[in-house]
Amino acid sequence: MRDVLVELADDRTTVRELIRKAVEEQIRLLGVDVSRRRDMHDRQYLLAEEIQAQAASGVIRLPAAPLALPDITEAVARAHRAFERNVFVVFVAGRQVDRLDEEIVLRPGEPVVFLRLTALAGG
Amino acid sequence: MVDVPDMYVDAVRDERDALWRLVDEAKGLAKAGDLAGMRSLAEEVRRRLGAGDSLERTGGHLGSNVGDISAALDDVYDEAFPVRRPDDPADVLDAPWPTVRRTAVLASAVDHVGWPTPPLEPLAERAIAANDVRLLRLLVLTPLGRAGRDTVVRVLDALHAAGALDVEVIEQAFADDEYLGRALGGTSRTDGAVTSAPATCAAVVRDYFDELAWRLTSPPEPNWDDLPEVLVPRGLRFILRALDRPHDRRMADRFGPAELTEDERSALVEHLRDRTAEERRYAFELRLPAGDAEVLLPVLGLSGAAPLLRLVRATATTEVARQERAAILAAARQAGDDGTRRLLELCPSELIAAALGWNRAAVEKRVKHNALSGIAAFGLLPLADGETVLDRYLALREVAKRGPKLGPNRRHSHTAAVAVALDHLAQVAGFPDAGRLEWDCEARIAAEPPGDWHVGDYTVGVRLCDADPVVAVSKAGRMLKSVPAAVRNDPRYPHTREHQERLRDQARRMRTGMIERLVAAGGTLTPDELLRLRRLPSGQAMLPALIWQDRSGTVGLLDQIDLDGPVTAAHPHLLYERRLLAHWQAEIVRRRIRQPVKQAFRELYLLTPAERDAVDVSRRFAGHTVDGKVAAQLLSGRGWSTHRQYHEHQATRPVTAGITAALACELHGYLGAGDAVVGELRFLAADSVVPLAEVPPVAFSEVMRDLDLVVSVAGTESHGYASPPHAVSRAQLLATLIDDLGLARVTVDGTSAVVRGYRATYRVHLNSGSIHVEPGSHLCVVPASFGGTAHRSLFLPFADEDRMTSVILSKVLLLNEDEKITDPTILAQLDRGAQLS
Repeated sequence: MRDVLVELADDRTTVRELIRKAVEEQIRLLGVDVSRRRDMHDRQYLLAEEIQAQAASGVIRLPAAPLALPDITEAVARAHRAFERNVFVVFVAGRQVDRLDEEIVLRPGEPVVFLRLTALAGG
Repeated sequence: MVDVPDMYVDAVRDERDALWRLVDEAKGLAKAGDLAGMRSLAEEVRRRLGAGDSLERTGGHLGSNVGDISAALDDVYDEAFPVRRPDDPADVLDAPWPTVRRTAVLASAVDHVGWPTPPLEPLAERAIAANDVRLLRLLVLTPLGRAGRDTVVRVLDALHAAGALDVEVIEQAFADDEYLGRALGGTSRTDGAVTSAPATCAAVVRDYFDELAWRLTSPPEPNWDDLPEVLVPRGLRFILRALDRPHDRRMADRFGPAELTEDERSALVEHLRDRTAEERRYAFELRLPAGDAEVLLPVLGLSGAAPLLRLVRATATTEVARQERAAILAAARQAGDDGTRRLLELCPSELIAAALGWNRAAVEKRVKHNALSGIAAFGLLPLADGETVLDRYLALREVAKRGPKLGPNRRHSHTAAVAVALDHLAQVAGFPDAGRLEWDCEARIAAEPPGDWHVGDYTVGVRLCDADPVVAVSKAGRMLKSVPAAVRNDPRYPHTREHQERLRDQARRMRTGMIERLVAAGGTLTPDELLRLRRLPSGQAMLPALIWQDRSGTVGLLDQIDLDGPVTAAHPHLLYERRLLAHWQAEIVRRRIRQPVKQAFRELYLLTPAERDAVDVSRRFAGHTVDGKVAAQLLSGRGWSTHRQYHEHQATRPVTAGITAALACELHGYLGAGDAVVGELRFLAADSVVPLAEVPPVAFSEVMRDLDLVVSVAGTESHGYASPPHAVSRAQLLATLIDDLGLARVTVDGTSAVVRGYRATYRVHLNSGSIHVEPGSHLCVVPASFGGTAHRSLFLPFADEDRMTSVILSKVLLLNEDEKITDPTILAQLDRGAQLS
């Protein structure tokens, strides 16, 4: 799990806004990743320092051709729809939030958790 | 009468007449007020209907032609047994005949109006929860409604717990369902493997069954029709009875595998001491399916044949699989020539007989018919007089060529059988592995290529173009782009084409069979072997494109190193350790070398910090859901065996002498059917788990590369972007996460989450997801739908990286609000747990 830091103007916000910020930040991080991969891919081989950096992750390989970055507006809209369909849930300070327009207060040391839930049944 | 074929008309009419007579009888009994008589008459009618509807009697045409009869019976029984209290389920069920009116009352009681036979499950749940003995008994005895096999067993369990399970109930349960035994002993429906603990009533029911089996099969003639199926009786007496009727196949099948205690087993051995040899042999045959035939070997004078018998059993249960020739020969030596012969008469084994060279003609015939185990056995035959290894090799290549004509699935197993046969032949010929055998043989095949020839102004020959053989035609020193008609029509042309095909075939086998294996294992070639391979045109084209290490440790291309000693194909791990990997990657690009297989750019896997911490288990790919069929194919193509029968590891691959990679998978069924969730990976030595850091790094890297391939190709979850490898174990990750959620009722204790719910306290194991309800029961909760998840890639920092994490977290959240659970099967489990404690 990679922590994603989101900058907010205020400690008060809505679930809708929080999801939007999180998606934007996630895609920005991906963009950095994509350009780094593109370098390696265009050169066709790895440099010694890239090998050292990859070794720590447990695998050394020439990355596959990087994918195009997704469209941010579309990705945000899809995340909002997914939240409304309960594809994932959001926990803030030990409480599950229900609605997109719900107002939430964020405090330091209380991370927001995004979870994909799985429907369960007795076996 | 509707739709009755002529041949059954008379029988149906007779049966109907007989049933009408029973209706009249019922009317008489009703008039006399004889309710007990009416109960047994209802039984009689049911029997009559069942027998009359059988295939032999009316071809199943009676059932659809008794509407008027059952209507008449309904009238009689409704009048004599009216429903007095429609809201009391026991009163509704307590009747000898399932009239339409009574069935309708039942249907509305269980909220299933409109079904011809209402399900009894809701009433069963109620009766079990309330421990209502009368209702429990009626649920089994009633002719109304229908209860599933598992429900019936749970009802029997509840009656047993209440001390109220009697013969009448058991008899009725078996009369309704002769396969009830399947749900009793905890054997699965499909393959007979034990899947769960036996029902608590099993002991009592089996006592009943044993008595019944004994009674029904007493002399003179056994009555098999009334004996319920599935169940295996217990006790020596059944085997002795089967021994008394040596030609009764049915008795051999049902009683031969009877369960024996240790004492009974010794008693059987004693019993056989003063019996005829024929009887001893028959006893052995009876006990083969039970798995304890080995104890009878001494009385058969075959004491030394135990290892051989184990091999026979092992080769009989697996599909076509590699056998250890040395082990077979050693076991046969121990059994002695005569002992081996006699044992193989008792339990024949094609493979073992082949290894000993006893069934050559039969095996050759089976190969002709493409029998898979026959092909595998063919490789094990010792060389005949005048036969060379090359002869056998060419014969197997011919067999292999027939594969593609056999259809897509069969083709796969055919190829696998040939591979096993080649491995066997390598053992016979004394090669270290099949690869070396193949290349030794290939070198001999290509030893003498036909030379160039001329027609008119043209020169024709086979040339290699980047390891790819082409037919080259030149005129006055200039290569032509196409083959002129004059050349094509020359009688020598087909030979040249044939040679091209042979070389092309060989190039393909060189790449995938030899070089891929050599690079993947970081294998070594002696100067002799290298020389022989370089004599092959494809070897000459491919081997110089690889990076090698010579005996002094110099790394380079073939022309840069010392070839007088052994040379090792450099695995990328070697290059990485020597800090040469970046250099060689750049060098291969700069020199524009096309490597025949991935070497410098082969993906290299190293231990992660988490794997170092976990010491002997890797969870790097754990939690990925894969398509089981694709995964099984990929794995088997890369040397993994996929097992159906082992509980701990579903796929294994021997990686070095003495070390086997073992992968656990969570399956539905077996690997190859449905989805599977990749689990933990371990490396096993003879009887211990090898710490990851002690696994040879090349072997480790290749195993991880196999698994990465499997999760990326067979994976069913769309990741979009590669997710980072699991940095910490799942338990640690979940523990942190549960802390982050700040749930008031949940605390983390080591690798468990303790949920203080409203109904109970639960302990959820964070690695496996299993749930214990304190103090001592188990709760089974599974994903409602297994397999493909619908989420398209959402760009959010999800805390649950994989499906398993999501499932475990969902369990914790479910139990955290256990007062809101509505799923009846979960509630029933909790209620039972509460009663036990």
